[in-house]
Amino acid sequence: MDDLIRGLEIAGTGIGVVFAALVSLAVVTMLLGRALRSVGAEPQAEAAEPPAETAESPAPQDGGPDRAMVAAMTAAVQFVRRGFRSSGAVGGPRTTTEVAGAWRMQGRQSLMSSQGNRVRPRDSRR
Amino acid sequence: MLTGEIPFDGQFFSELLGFWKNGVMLLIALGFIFLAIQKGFEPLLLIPIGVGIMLANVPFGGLGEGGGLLALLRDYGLKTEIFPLLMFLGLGALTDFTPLIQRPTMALLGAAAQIGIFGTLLGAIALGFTVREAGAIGIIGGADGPTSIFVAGRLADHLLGPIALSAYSYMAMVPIIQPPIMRALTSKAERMVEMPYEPQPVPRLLKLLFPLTVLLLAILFAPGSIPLIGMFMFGNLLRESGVVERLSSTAQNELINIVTILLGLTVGGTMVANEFLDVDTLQVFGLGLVAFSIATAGGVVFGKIMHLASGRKINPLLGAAGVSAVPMSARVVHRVALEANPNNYLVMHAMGPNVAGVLGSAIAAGIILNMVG
Repeated sequence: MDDLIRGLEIAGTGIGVVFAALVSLAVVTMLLGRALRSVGAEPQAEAAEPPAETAESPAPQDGGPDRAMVAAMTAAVQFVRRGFRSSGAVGGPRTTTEVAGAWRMQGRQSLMSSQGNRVRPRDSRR
Repeated sequence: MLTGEIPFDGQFFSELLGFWKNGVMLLIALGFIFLAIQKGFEPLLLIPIGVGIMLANVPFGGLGEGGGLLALLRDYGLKTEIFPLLMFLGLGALTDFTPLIQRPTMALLGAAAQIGIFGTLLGAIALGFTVREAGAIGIIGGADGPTSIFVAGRLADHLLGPIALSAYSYMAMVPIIQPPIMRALTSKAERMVEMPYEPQPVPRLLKLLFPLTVLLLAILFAPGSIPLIGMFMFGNLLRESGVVERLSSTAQNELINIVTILLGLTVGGTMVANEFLDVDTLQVFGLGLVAFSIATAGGVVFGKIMHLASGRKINPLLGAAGVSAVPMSARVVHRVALEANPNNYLVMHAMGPNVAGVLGSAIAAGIILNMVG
């Protein structure tokens, strides 16, 4: 009987501690994930700002090329960029989940690899 | 002594008849080898174990007796805990925690499946085993061979053979044991729940911090698990650091292959007929099956709770992957889900609770060692 009581004590404590440990792991992982993703996102946002700034004030203040010409070049560059993006030629990669399940995509890629064919990302095609 | 002495005298045949138990063990060995080769059940484990059983029970072979090769491997590899810990190092290097990091709540399913360990501990005590023996037997429910050997070596050395063989045998039989329990505890509608896989990028720093976080939590919650978790996380850090490709590759391939051969042979070598064929062994095997079943059921029931709590978005079958037979139980979940719904691909989701189950069983082992050892 003493052994059974001891066993109940171990079982109760054990399952409680296992849950506590893994819940803690889940919480810490979520918090770390959020923190690291937000830290990773900030530099990208900062890096994205300078081109916008140059686009808004393309002309140097102290003489230099004609303001109208610089504005026209900037507009042309912007047009070309937006045009390509809207056509999808160099836009962000389309998520595979939109087209098919990621698992199916992975299976297809591994099958292609096993046949000796190199699988190229969609956006690198010409 | 690496070979036995063959008594070629008048009593040879009468003595040979006295080896009927060895004959039974040889049949068991052949059964393991048959399952591995013909049925494809965990051949990496069952062939070395089967051959180990065979070599240990060849009459007059002497391999399993004092000074024999298998006895030496047992003394220096199993009893010193070197083999299970090196195995954990290799497993850590092989394990990708990305599915768990992407969906940390899946860790709960890995915890729920550990109820098999503690349920079986109580069952073993009820059958008359001591608390130490019951703790060692219960770990079979974790479906983790190296952890079972580690705990049995510390708590119940005399049951090391049956516990190790039971753990590895049932791990190989996960595709047979789990599906009926999964089907019995879930409706077809629940099994059909689709979970689209939308991989999210995981920051590299998070992958580097994850093993250290697990180690820190093990120190806080279950110090007894530190040898296991420590080696596991060392292996995982080798993998994720990306700067020690040679070491990572060695741990994932050469090291784990060598240890698998030696561990399998040694586990098989512990099955010496005179020590193995008794009531305790049969009880250990019976309890091992109960442990696996309770673990699977516990995981699935908790999966159903998460299914309801998530607004029926989580497939409850994922709970069965909480036992730490990696990646076998994740594959079984995937297969059972596919039977219900041919468009349901759960294997990546199931890897989360599967790797959490490895951590859960190691932590459970640590708690038992701390409270009983």
